[in-house]
Amino acid sequence: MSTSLYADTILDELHHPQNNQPLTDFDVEFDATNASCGDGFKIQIKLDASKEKIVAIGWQGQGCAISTAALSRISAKAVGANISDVQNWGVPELLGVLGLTQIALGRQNCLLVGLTGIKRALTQASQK
Amino acid sequence: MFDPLTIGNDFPLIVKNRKKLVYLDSAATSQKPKVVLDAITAYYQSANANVHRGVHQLSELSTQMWQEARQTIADFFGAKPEELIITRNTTEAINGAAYGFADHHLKAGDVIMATLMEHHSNLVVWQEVCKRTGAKLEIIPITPDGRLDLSWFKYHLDSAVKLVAVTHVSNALGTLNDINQIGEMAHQVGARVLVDAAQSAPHLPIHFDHMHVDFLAVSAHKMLGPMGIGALIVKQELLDNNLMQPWLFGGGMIESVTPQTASYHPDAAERFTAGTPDVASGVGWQAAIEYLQGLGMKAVGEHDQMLVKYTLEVLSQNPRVKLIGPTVFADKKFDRVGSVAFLYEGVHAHDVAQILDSEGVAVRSGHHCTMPLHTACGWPATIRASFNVYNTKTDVDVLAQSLLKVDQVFGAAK
Repeated sequence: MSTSLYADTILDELHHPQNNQPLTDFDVEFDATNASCGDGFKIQIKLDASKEKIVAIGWQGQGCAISTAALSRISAKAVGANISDVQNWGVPELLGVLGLTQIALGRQNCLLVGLTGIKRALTQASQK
Repeated sequence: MFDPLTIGNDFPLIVKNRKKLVYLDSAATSQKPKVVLDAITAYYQSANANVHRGVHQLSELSTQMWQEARQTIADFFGAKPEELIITRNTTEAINGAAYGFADHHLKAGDVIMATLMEHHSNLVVWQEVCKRTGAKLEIIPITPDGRLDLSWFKYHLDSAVKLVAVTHVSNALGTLNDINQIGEMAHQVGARVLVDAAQSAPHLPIHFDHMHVDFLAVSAHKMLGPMGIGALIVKQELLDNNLMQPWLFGGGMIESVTPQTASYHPDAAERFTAGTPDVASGVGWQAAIEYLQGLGMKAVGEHDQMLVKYTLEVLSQNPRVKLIGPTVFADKKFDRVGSVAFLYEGVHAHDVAQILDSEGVAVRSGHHCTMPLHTACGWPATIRASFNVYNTKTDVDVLAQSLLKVDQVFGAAK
């Protein structure tokens, strides 16, 4: 893997992250962590009245460029999406929002930490 | 002192990647010299047979090679072959001390002491022993300069402490702990002492029988040997009195067996070797040890000290680098071995490591299996450069130069 991983897309996203603020009104909150490096994000989600769509996402925390940019972009894609669709997202969707075609195995956890947190938060919300 | 540039020629992977790779991740695993690879191949090509199982000549040869390997390994650590229990790695060795010793002797009210700088393998194992026995785990803290807080240890050490588990050299901080002082203090209150020597064995001479240590856990793969073999070295007194008991059962370790019961081999070397041993890895480990002895462990240690000092000096010139572990040393007491880890201001460790990789520099990033230490110090992740005999000052210079590439990609520090 070369430094091309750090394309302008990812660095721009890192410097202008989307949804990077706490929500005052939310249905569920989840602490997403990457055990391999200690990255951690607090993710809050507001759902619509029918509990089928995501209305808003807010997140805070720290991680590497990949985990931060991936969470930023995937949170933007998730706002307005159906919960059932988001639950089926994975590596292909994350690569897609970042404009990447592949990621080294060693960075997959970085890529996934935010989305996994969103999905687990949604699962918790559905169990409430 | 040997010439690390020439030494590199002995390592096929280094030769193959010369000018493309600067390998600074030997604390995770070292590269292997050709003599080790050849010894393993030669064993399978000309001596492969199960040990202690046949009267045929090949089994005899294999058994002889296994015993010679065991002798060499024991000698290297200053132990008797009877004290050597072969395991798959350091982690399995520590688990062996837990299942074979701690589970039989610890109870509610007893205390196990580990340290904040332990690798998870010398911490989680004891958490589990506490769950099983009701004993309590206490953690020896560290001082702000990255050394063990021995005054805390002295104050809290009493007869309730039955086991002290401590690393010889920290894989994250690089700190060299005064094992003998800790061991002597622990023995005075009747506690047993387990030392994780995974990070010290590649760089320091070890004389087990002269140390205030009851259990020593090591791996071959960090000291130029193959993966998949390590050892738990146990003081003979614990074996002779059956205070240390086998924790793996089955073929090879028995004396006699009836349908309902079994008695175990009187010879410790057999009693603790259940199943077919990894003879090829034993032979490979022997070759690694003979290679290190050829260089001389004194010279190997001095080479490491030179590299660690040089790295501290070079990296401290970069204002974005925040070194972790001991950086200030008393006269003639350089208590840091094997590695230098650091934070890089404004850039996550994984991103730094990724960019260094793009420059051909292989380092480790993350918490290095020391999550409690990283959490306590507020470090999300750190970058670690670690060394072995084939590393040179030029490798360190390339690391320092490559950090400038991080600045190019991520911009200057804020």
